[in-house]
Amino acid sequence: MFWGGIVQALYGCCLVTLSIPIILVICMVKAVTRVSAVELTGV
Amino acid sequence: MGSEYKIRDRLIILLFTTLSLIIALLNSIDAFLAVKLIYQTRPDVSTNSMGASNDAFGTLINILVDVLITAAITASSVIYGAVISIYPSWLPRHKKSIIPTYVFSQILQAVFWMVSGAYLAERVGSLQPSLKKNYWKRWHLLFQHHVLGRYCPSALRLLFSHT
Repeated sequence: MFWGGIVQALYGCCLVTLSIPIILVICMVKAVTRVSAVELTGV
Repeated sequence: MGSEYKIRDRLIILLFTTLSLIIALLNSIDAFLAVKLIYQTRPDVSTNSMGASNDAFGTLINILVDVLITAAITASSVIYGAVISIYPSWLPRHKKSIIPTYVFSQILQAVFWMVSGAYLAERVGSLQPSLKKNYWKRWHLLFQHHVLGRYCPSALRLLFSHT
């Protein structure tokens, strides 16, 4: 039970710390591609 | 949208659903162990004994509630993930709402796992000394009554009886 709690807490911690930067990077890539598409097409 | 997008999305959802399923199973096993320990440490009503075992009983009830809430929330997420990965026709039609909802629920769940896992480890850590003491007491009594009582002469029995 003790190690189950530790494993669960560590997995939750990893998920939170990894997912937030990944989501930020995806949003940044989408924003950059949108800006470059606007610059290329002018629309 | 190409079909490879659908397959990739489904595989990613399935991966995280499997990991959630493992956490749900872990919590179910913890709940089972907690119930077994609750039956072992329940206060004796006939002798009205209050003390260390009563504290352990309360702690075990707290552990059981924590573990059951975590298992229920995780199981609901597993069902949601399984449904949206088994029915791929839902993905392209509602992709704008389904996938962000799944990601958001996973992040919220991860925060909850972190808090409840730390709480569980802390509670079990505080519980372990009293359980160990009770187990030691039980084995000591077993040794006195069954081994010493049966195989040792009375002089030796007296020697061991106060250890």
